[in-house]
Amino acid sequence: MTSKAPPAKTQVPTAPPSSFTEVHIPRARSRRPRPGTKAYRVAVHGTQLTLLAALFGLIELAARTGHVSKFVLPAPSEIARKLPHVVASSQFGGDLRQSAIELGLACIIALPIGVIVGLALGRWSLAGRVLEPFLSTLYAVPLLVFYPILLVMMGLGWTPIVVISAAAAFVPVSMNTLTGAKTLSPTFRKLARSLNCNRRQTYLKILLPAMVPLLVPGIQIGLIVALVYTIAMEFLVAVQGLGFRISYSYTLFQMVATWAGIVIVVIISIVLSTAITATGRRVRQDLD
Amino acid sequence: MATDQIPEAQTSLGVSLHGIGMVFEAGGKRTEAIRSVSATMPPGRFVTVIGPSGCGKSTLLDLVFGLQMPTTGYVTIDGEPVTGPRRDMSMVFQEDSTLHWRTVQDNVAFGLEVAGVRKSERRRRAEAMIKLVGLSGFEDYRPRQLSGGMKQRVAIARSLVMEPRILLMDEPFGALDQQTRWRLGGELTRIWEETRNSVLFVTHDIHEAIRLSDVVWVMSERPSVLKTEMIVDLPRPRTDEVLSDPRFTQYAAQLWELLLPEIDTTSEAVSR
Repeated sequence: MTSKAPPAKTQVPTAPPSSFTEVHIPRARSRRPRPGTKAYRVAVHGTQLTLLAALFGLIELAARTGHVSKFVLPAPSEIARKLPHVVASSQFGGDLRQSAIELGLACIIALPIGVIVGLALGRWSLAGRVLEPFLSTLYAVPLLVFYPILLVMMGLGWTPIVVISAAAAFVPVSMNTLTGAKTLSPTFRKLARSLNCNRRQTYLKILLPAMVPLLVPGIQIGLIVALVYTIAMEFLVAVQGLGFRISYSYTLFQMVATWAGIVIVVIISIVLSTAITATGRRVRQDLD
Repeated sequence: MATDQIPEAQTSLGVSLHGIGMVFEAGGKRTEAIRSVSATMPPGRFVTVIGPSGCGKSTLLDLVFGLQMPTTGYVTIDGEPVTGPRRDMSMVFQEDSTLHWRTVQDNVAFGLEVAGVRKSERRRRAEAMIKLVGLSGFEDYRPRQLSGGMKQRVAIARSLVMEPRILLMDEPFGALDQQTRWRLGGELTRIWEETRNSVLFVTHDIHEAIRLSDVVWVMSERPSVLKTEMIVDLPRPRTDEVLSDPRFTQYAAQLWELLLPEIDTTSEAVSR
């Protein structure tokens, strides 16, 4: 055995064959802003505002040139001019208060009960299995069909409005809560037990925050459904309230007042819905 | 008031299993998970439970903790029968159990918060523990911003901050890659050599079992019995150099020999 071993034949990586050398691929730098940057947010919101402005501009144009009868759709500028007068009137105050009471009562009844029923059905799986089909069927029923019966039972007033709105809002809230409870990782319950959490701590500090991604949309849908039913019932049976005012103004051919009412209802629904999302974000700052 | 219930003392406790057996009945199917296990875990020891998958290792841990009650036999801790989770015991789970809406700091302090410990003290104890598990600088991060290994560090810190006299660990590194797993094992060894509480650790990783433990309990396949208790006589403090100790290799070979027949029959049972 010689001490001078031949050099090991290790292949030292060298430059690739010449046919591959220096092919210059021009890479155009995209001028589109990247997600997450400020420019991106400006672009998104700017485009949204432009679309909105364009929509209103089109309607304005159509109304002013007479393409759309002003008995159907008055010019947005005219509605905007009339809006402060409508809002300032004492009649509007009464209407708003009436609708707010009905909607508020419906939510105070439906949201907690919906969450509690959803949690209970998630906890006791047998009850959940038995009752879930009933809930999902209820989801499919347009509860408004029951209004004549409710009217007979409860008379003309705000009671049938609250009852039907609460019933309608209850369904999506309980369904979403149930889904949230069923999809919770069992580790959360084990963790709660292992740290000796009492029931209050288990739900408020672990289970409910964990369920927020399903809970918040449920409450949001519930709230909007309650608003829809409140307005619809006011169309049908009320003597006061925003829904009543919209339909009443229409029967008098007061189109500007009708549209003012519609605009206010739209604003209320946007504000409520945004408030719920914001609350959810506060609880789950990790999500976005 | 509630603060008093958190044990400050670090005296550890011994655990005794008195012929425990566990049978599950679901959908008319009867599964005997554990036939009969009797063993004693002396206080202040690191004991690892190893066995083929599905042999009831995790169930055994739940029984010691009192999350479930055995169908036969009973568990005692310092002579007292276990009826439910005790305040001086703590558990680390295999799956991610961090609360994603809380920061690392608030996750680690969670058990203290639940127990009603004052905010200033919570902060102090959590910070010390975060440092111990090597997460300093990540106090304000949220779990989603952390790797799997870091999340398990958070979970371990959350258990240790309660100053448990018995720590139960259910495959805490099971979901991690091998290198992270080995490194975290080393850190757990370092931490344990400081705290010296009793630890019951479940794993199916032979090297991990030897590296960590004073005693290894080898379980048979289901319905499981305690096959052997193996004393691991390796010097402490145990560093990575333990790998080159010839005894380490011997222990590994012994464990393989004990486990191979169990693994074979289990896989047959599965493929049938």
